[in-house]
Amino acid sequence: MAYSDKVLDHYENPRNVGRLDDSDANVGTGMVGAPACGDVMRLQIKVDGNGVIEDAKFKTYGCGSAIASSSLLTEWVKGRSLDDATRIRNRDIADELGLPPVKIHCSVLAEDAIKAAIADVKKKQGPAEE
Amino acid sequence: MLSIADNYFSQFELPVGYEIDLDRLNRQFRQLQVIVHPDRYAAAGDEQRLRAIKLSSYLNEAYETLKSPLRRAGYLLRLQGVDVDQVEQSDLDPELLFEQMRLRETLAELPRDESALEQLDDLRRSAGSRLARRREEFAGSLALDNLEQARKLFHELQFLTKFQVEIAKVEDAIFPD
Repeated sequence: MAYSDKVLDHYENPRNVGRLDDSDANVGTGMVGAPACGDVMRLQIKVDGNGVIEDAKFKTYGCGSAIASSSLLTEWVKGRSLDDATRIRNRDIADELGLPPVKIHCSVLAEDAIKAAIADVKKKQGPAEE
Repeated sequence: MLSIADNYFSQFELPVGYEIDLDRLNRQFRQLQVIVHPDRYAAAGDEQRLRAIKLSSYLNEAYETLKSPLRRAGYLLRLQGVDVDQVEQSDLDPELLFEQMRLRETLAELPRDESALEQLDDLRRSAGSRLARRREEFAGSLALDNLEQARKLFHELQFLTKFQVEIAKVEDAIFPD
Protein backbone atom coordinates (compact mmCIF):
# COMPACT_ATOMS: atom_id res chain seq x y z
CA MET A 1 0.00 0.00 0.00
CA ALA A 2 1.26 3.45 -0.83
CA TYR A 3 1.73 5.82 2.06
CA SER A 4 0.91 9.49 1.66
CA ASP A 5 3.77 12.01 1.60
CA LYS A 6 2.79 13.22 5.06
CA VAL A 7 2.90 9.72 6.52
CA LEU A 8 6.27 9.12 4.89
CA ASP A 9 7.60 12.39 6.24
CA HIS A 10 6.63 11.52 9.82
CA TYR A 11 7.81 7.95 9.36
CA GLU A 12 11.22 8.99 8.07
CA ASN A 13 11.61 11.99 10.37
CA PRO A 14 9.51 11.22 13.42
CA ARG A 15 9.09 14.22 15.72
CA ASN A 16 9.52 14.02 19.47
CA VAL A 17 10.66 10.43 19.80
CA GLY A 18 11.77 9.59 23.30
CA ARG A 19 10.58 9.42 26.84
CA LEU A 20 9.78 11.70 29.73
CA ASP A 21 10.40 10.92 33.38
CA ASP A 22 7.27 9.10 34.50
CA SER A 23 8.07 9.74 38.18
CA ASP A 24 7.54 13.47 37.54
CA ALA A 25 4.10 14.49 38.81
CA ASN A 26 3.69 16.76 35.79
CA VAL A 27 4.21 13.91 33.34
CA GLY A 28 1.36 11.75 32.09
CA THR A 29 1.92 8.48 30.27
CA GLY A 30 -0.49 6.79 27.89
CA MET A 31 0.39 3.24 26.95
CA VAL A 32 -1.82 1.58 24.36
CA GLY A 33 -1.67 -1.36 22.00
CA ALA A 34 -3.27 -3.00 19.00
CA PRO A 35 -2.99 -6.75 19.49
CA ALA A 36 -4.04 -7.68 15.96
CA CYS A 37 -0.96 -5.89 14.56
CA GLY A 38 1.16 -6.33 17.69
CA ASP A 39 1.63 -2.56 17.86
CA VAL A 40 2.53 -0.78 21.08
CA MET A 41 2.48 2.99 21.53
CA ARG A 42 3.68 5.13 24.42
CA LEU A 43 2.69 8.78 24.44
CA GLN A 44 3.80 11.12 27.20
CA ILE A 45 3.00 14.71 27.97
CA LYS A 46 4.44 17.19 30.43
CA VAL A 47 2.27 20.02 31.69
CA ASP A 48 3.40 23.35 33.13
CA GLY A 49 1.88 25.11 36.15
CA ASN A 50 -1.02 26.41 34.06
CA GLY A 51 -2.08 23.02 32.78
CA VAL A 52 -0.60 23.69 29.36
CA ILE A 53 1.26 20.87 27.62
CA GLU A 54 4.84 22.07 27.32
CA ASP A 55 6.41 18.87 26.04
CA ALA A 56 5.33 15.62 24.42
CA LYS A 57 7.26 12.49 23.50
CA PHE A 58 6.30 9.20 21.95
CA LYS A 59 7.64 5.78 21.13
CA THR A 60 5.70 3.55 18.77
CA TYR A 61 6.49 0.06 17.54
CA GLY A 62 4.16 -0.45 14.64
CA CYS A 63 3.47 0.38 11.04
CA GLY A 64 4.20 3.70 9.32
CA SER A 65 0.67 4.97 9.91
CA ALA A 66 0.85 4.27 13.64
CA ILE A 67 4.21 6.02 13.90
CA ALA A 68 3.00 8.98 11.84
CA SER A 69 -0.23 9.28 13.87
CA SER A 70 1.62 9.47 17.16
CA SER A 71 4.36 11.71 15.79
CA LEU A 72 1.81 14.20 14.44
CA LEU A 73 -0.13 14.11 17.68
CA THR A 74 2.92 15.09 19.76
CA GLU A 75 3.33 18.12 17.50
CA TRP A 76 -0.30 19.07 17.83
CA VAL A 77 -0.65 18.84 21.60
CA LYS A 78 2.32 21.01 22.49
CA GLY A 79 1.12 24.40 23.66
CA ARG A 80 -2.45 23.22 24.17
CA SER A 81 -4.30 22.99 27.47
CA LEU A 82 -5.28 19.52 28.63
CA ASP A 83 -8.94 20.19 27.89
CA ASP A 84 -8.08 21.47 24.45
CA ALA A 85 -5.94 18.40 23.77
CA THR A 86 -8.82 16.15 24.83
CA ARG A 87 -10.81 17.49 21.92
CA ILE A 88 -8.45 16.15 19.25
CA ARG A 89 -10.25 13.42 17.33
CA ASN A 90 -8.73 10.52 15.46
CA ARG A 91 -10.61 11.81 12.41
CA ASP A 92 -8.47 14.99 12.47
CA ILE A 93 -5.29 12.90 12.48
CA ALA A 94 -6.52 10.56 9.75
CA ASP A 95 -7.59 13.51 7.56
CA GLU A 96 -4.32 15.38 8.04
CA LEU A 97 -2.26 12.29 7.16
CA GLY A 98 -4.61 11.08 4.45
CA LEU A 99 -4.90 7.64 6.02
CA PRO A 100 -6.80 5.04 3.97
CA PRO A 101 -9.78 3.29 5.65
CA VAL A 102 -7.73 0.20 6.60
CA LYS A 103 -5.35 2.44 8.58
CA ILE A 104 -7.92 4.51 10.44
CA HIS A 105 -7.42 2.27 13.48
CA CYS A 106 -3.87 3.65 13.78
CA SER A 107 -5.25 7.13 14.36
CA VAL A 108 -7.74 5.69 16.86
CA LEU A 109 -4.79 4.21 18.72
CA ALA A 110 -3.12 7.64 18.88
CA GLU A 111 -6.32 9.24 20.20
CA ASP A 112 -6.58 6.51 22.84
CA ALA A 113 -2.96 7.19 23.79
CA ILE A 114 -3.35 10.94 24.31
CA LYS A 115 -6.55 10.42 26.30
CA ALA A 116 -4.77 7.91 28.52
CA ALA A 117 -1.83 10.30 29.00
CA ILE A 118 -4.17 13.15 29.93
CA ALA A 119 -6.11 10.93 32.35
CA ASP A 120 -2.82 9.81 33.89
CA VAL A 121 -1.48 13.31 34.53
CA LYS A 122 -4.85 14.46 35.90
CA LYS A 123 -4.89 11.51 38.27
CA LYS A 124 -1.34 12.25 39.42
CA GLN A 125 -2.13 15.87 40.10
CA GLY A 126 -5.17 14.91 42.10
CA PRO A 127 -8.57 16.58 42.13
CA ALA A 128 -7.86 20.09 40.86
CA GLU A 129 -9.97 23.21 41.27
CA GLU A 130 -12.45 22.03 38.63
CA MET B 1 -19.16 -33.41 -3.99
CA LEU B 2 -18.61 -32.31 -0.40
CA SER B 3 -20.81 -30.57 2.10
CA ILE B 4 -19.76 -27.70 4.29
CA ALA B 5 -19.68 -28.60 7.96
CA ASP B 6 -20.78 -26.40 10.87
CA ASN B 7 -17.23 -25.40 11.60
CA TYR B 8 -13.67 -25.97 10.44
CA PHE B 9 -13.01 -28.66 13.03
CA SER B 10 -15.89 -30.89 12.06
CA GLN B 11 -14.99 -30.29 8.43
CA PHE B 12 -11.82 -32.25 9.12
CA GLU B 13 -13.52 -34.61 11.59
CA LEU B 14 -11.54 -33.21 14.48
CA PRO B 15 -12.81 -32.45 17.98
CA VAL B 16 -13.37 -28.75 18.65
CA GLY B 17 -10.58 -27.56 20.93
CA TYR B 18 -7.22 -25.85 21.08
CA GLU B 19 -5.21 -29.06 21.27
CA ILE B 20 -5.14 -30.47 17.79
CA ASP B 21 -3.86 -33.58 16.04
CA LEU B 22 -1.86 -31.92 13.28
CA ASP B 23 -1.07 -35.19 11.48
CA ARG B 24 -4.74 -35.94 11.27
CA LEU B 25 -5.49 -32.41 10.11
CA ASN B 26 -2.89 -32.76 7.34
CA ARG B 27 -4.24 -36.15 6.26
CA GLN B 28 -7.86 -35.04 6.21
CA PHE B 29 -7.00 -31.87 4.36
CA ARG B 30 -5.12 -33.76 1.64
CA GLN B 31 -7.98 -36.24 1.20
CA LEU B 32 -10.64 -33.56 0.92
CA GLN B 33 -8.47 -31.48 -1.34
CA VAL B 34 -8.34 -34.33 -3.82
CA ILE B 35 -12.12 -34.62 -3.81
CA VAL B 36 -12.72 -30.97 -4.61
CA HIS B 37 -9.70 -30.38 -6.82
CA PRO B 38 -10.99 -28.18 -9.67
CA ASP B 39 -9.05 -30.27 -12.22
CA ARG B 40 -11.40 -33.15 -11.53
CA TYR B 41 -14.29 -31.02 -12.72
CA ALA B 42 -12.66 -29.75 -15.88
CA ALA B 43 -15.19 -31.67 -17.95
CA ALA B 44 -18.12 -30.92 -15.65
CA GLY B 45 -20.62 -28.10 -16.09
CA ASP B 46 -19.87 -24.50 -15.06
CA GLU B 47 -21.89 -24.83 -11.90
CA GLN B 48 -19.97 -27.88 -10.69
CA ARG B 49 -16.66 -26.32 -11.58
CA LEU B 50 -17.44 -23.11 -9.76
CA ARG B 51 -18.55 -25.09 -6.75
CA ALA B 52 -15.28 -27.04 -6.73
CA ILE B 53 -13.28 -23.81 -6.83
CA LYS B 54 -15.27 -22.34 -3.96
CA LEU B 55 -14.96 -25.49 -1.85
CA SER B 56 -11.27 -25.71 -2.55
CA SER B 57 -10.64 -22.17 -1.34
CA TYR B 58 -12.89 -22.75 1.67
CA LEU B 59 -10.85 -25.83 2.59
CA ASN B 60 -7.61 -23.90 2.24
CA GLU B 61 -8.89 -21.19 4.54
CA ALA B 62 -10.12 -23.75 7.06
CA TYR B 63 -6.81 -25.61 6.96
CA GLU B 64 -4.64 -22.50 7.33
CA THR B 65 -6.79 -21.31 10.21
CA LEU B 66 -6.55 -24.55 12.16
CA LYS B 67 -2.88 -25.12 11.40
CA SER B 68 -1.74 -21.82 12.92
CA PRO B 69 -1.82 -21.85 16.74
CA LEU B 70 -2.68 -18.14 16.81
CA ARG B 71 -5.38 -18.22 14.15
CA ARG B 72 -6.83 -21.38 15.69
CA ALA B 73 -7.10 -19.61 19.04
CA GLY B 74 -8.87 -16.64 17.47
CA TYR B 75 -11.22 -18.94 15.56
CA LEU B 76 -12.16 -20.84 18.71
CA LEU B 77 -13.06 -17.58 20.42
CA ARG B 78 -15.12 -16.52 17.42
CA LEU B 79 -16.97 -19.83 17.58
CA GLN B 80 -17.87 -18.87 21.15
CA GLY B 81 -19.21 -15.54 19.96
CA VAL B 82 -16.23 -13.46 21.10
CA ASP B 83 -15.39 -10.69 18.64
CA VAL B 84 -11.61 -10.66 18.96
CA ASP B 85 -11.19 -7.96 16.32
CA GLN B 86 -13.09 -5.40 18.33
CA VAL B 87 -10.54 -4.42 20.98
CA GLU B 88 -10.91 -1.60 23.48
CA GLN B 89 -7.89 -0.42 25.43
CA SER B 90 -9.70 -1.42 28.61
CA ASP B 91 -9.57 -5.03 27.36
CA LEU B 92 -5.79 -4.92 27.61
CA ASP B 93 -3.81 -5.37 30.77
CA PRO B 94 -1.58 -2.28 31.33
CA GLU B 95 1.19 -4.55 32.59
CA LEU B 96 1.08 -6.50 29.35
CA LEU B 97 1.51 -3.27 27.37
CA PHE B 98 4.38 -2.05 29.55
CA GLU B 99 6.10 -5.39 29.18
CA GLN B 100 5.65 -5.45 25.41
CA MET B 101 7.05 -1.94 25.18
CA ARG B 102 10.02 -2.97 27.30
CA LEU B 103 10.66 -6.05 25.14
CA ARG B 104 10.42 -4.08 21.91
CA GLU B 105 12.77 -1.41 23.28
CA THR B 106 15.27 -4.04 24.39
CA LEU B 107 15.21 -5.58 20.93
CA ALA B 108 15.49 -2.20 19.20
CA GLU B 109 18.51 -1.23 21.29
CA LEU B 110 20.54 -4.35 20.50
CA PRO B 111 23.53 -3.69 18.28
CA ARG B 112 22.95 -4.89 14.72
CA ASP B 113 25.96 -7.17 14.64
CA GLU B 114 27.13 -10.52 15.98
CA SER B 115 27.66 -9.15 19.48
CA ALA B 116 23.85 -9.18 19.84
CA LEU B 117 23.50 -12.91 19.24
CA GLU B 118 23.59 -14.04 22.82
CA GLN B 119 20.92 -11.57 23.89
CA LEU B 120 18.86 -12.41 20.83
CA ASP B 121 19.02 -16.06 21.84
CA ASP B 122 17.85 -15.18 25.33
CA LEU B 123 14.98 -13.08 24.00
CA ARG B 124 13.91 -15.77 21.58
CA ARG B 125 14.05 -18.50 24.20
CA SER B 126 12.13 -16.57 26.81
CA ALA B 127 9.51 -15.45 24.28
CA GLY B 128 9.17 -19.06 23.12
CA SER B 129 8.68 -20.49 26.59
CA ARG B 130 6.30 -17.70 27.56
CA LEU B 131 4.29 -18.41 24.42
CA ALA B 132 4.16 -22.13 25.21
CA ARG B 133 2.95 -21.38 28.74
CA ARG B 134 0.31 -18.93 27.59
CA ARG B 135 -0.96 -21.40 24.99
CA GLU B 136 -1.50 -23.98 27.71
CA GLU B 137 -3.29 -21.42 29.83
CA PHE B 138 -5.41 -20.42 26.86
CA ALA B 139 -6.41 -24.04 26.25
CA GLY B 140 -7.29 -24.38 29.93
CA SER B 141 -9.36 -21.18 30.05
CA LEU B 142 -11.25 -22.19 26.95
CA ALA B 143 -11.93 -25.68 28.29
CA LEU B 144 -13.32 -24.10 31.46
CA ASP B 145 -15.41 -21.70 29.41
CA ASN B 146 -13.61 -18.76 30.98
CA LEU B 147 -13.93 -16.63 27.86
CA GLU B 148 -12.85 -13.37 29.47
CA GLN B 149 -9.57 -14.92 30.54
CA ALA B 150 -9.17 -16.72 27.20
CA ARG B 151 -9.63 -13.48 25.35
CA LYS B 152 -6.96 -11.72 27.41
CA LEU B 153 -4.58 -14.61 26.83
CA PHE B 154 -5.34 -14.51 23.13
CA HIS B 155 -4.25 -10.87 22.98
CA GLU B 156 -1.03 -11.78 24.74
CA LEU B 157 -0.49 -14.59 22.22
CA GLN B 158 -0.92 -12.01 19.46
CA PHE B 159 1.73 -9.72 20.95
CA LEU B 160 4.15 -12.56 21.66
CA THR B 161 3.78 -13.98 18.16
CA LYS B 162 4.48 -10.54 16.71
CA PHE B 163 7.50 -10.21 18.98
CA GLN B 164 8.89 -13.47 17.64
CA VAL B 165 8.52 -12.13 14.11
CA GLU B 166 10.41 -8.99 15.13
CA ILE B 167 13.22 -11.05 16.67
CA ALA B 168 13.49 -13.04 13.44
CA LYS B 169 13.71 -9.80 11.45
CA VAL B 170 16.65 -8.62 13.54
CA GLU B 171 18.35 -11.98 13.11
CA ASP B 172 17.84 -11.77 9.35
CA ALA B 173 19.30 -8.28 9.35
CA ILE B 174 22.45 -9.54 11.09
CA PHE B 175 22.74 -12.68 8.96
CA PRO B 176 21.21 -11.93 5.59
CA ASP B 177 21.19 -15.22 3.71
